[in-house]
Amino acid sequence: MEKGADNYRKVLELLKSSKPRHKNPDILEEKIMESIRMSKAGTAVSQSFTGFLFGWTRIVWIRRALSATAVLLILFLAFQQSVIIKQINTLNQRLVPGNLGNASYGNAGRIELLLYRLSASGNQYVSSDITGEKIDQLIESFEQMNSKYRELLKLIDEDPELKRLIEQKLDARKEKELPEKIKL
Amino acid sequence: MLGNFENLRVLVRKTSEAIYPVVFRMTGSEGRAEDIVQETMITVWQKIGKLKAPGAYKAWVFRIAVNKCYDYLRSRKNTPETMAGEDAWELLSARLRDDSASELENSEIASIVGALAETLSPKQKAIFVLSDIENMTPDEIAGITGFGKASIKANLHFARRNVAGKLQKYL
Repeated sequence: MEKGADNYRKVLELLKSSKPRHKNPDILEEKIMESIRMSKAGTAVSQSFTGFLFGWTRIVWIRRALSATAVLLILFLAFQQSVIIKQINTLNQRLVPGNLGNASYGNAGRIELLLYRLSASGNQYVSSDITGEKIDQLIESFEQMNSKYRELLKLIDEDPELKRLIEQKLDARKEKELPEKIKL
Repeated sequence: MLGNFENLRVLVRKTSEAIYPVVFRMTGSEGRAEDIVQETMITVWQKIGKLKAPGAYKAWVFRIAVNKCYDYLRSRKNTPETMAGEDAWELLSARLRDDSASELENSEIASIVGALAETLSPKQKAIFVLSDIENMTPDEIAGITGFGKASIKANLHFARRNVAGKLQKYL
């Protein structure tokens, strides 16, 4: 054991006393100086290019002006965003009554549009449990009612006597309703 | 400007002479040691502006060099030592018997350190070289490598036991 420790100590002493040296320190020095020169040249080129592109950002008044502009732009964007959101909310509220009478839609399309807009505007009268089947039934019954109404109008148009009779009835009804409204 | 460059030349000469032995003992290769010294000096040149206290220059340079060596050792972790083997033990045995006390050649140092540290991990080899050959304290090693003191002591203990075991086996 003691011999082992002695050997360990001797080996370390041998290694400590033998200092590795470079065979040609002058060549190593020259190589290092050359590498530094090259790295310096590379750095100088990249620095001059960067300086050419972004050197103006180091001018104090430009930096301050750019900072102020950035702050103003952020404030403007925030204001614009709030205005847009406000306008979207207003338009959402106006959406349902605004276009219901649009003649470019068919009857079925008009009902579908009405339901869509009512649900999109969050209208409380549109129940969330309306299914596609119920909408189809509604559209079908509306179309049936519409076709019957048109048949009725056609019948009235074809029969002048009937037309005259109905007009008389309507006139009489209006005359009857009018005094009641005047009283109110 | 020329004056600055001449000062730099002096700094390069002194620094490379100081770090070359450590780097060579850690890497065991003249070519690799030369590359690491060169890389270290370029890093020193590029980052010397960040050095706040001039007194810390030596520790800072050693930190750069040793970390580069450690990275190199880790990168060749699975590559066997080229000069280790029977020849290294015969050489060591002969040198221990010889009392002339002449210095070892670079190749002999590389061979012996390679044989001693053959089965050590890169961390253990780095700590063994810095502590037992370069005579650095655990505090200095911690400052240079960034390893914790407890880890340094544990790894050093393992490395010494391993090296002693090898010496007992081969000598």
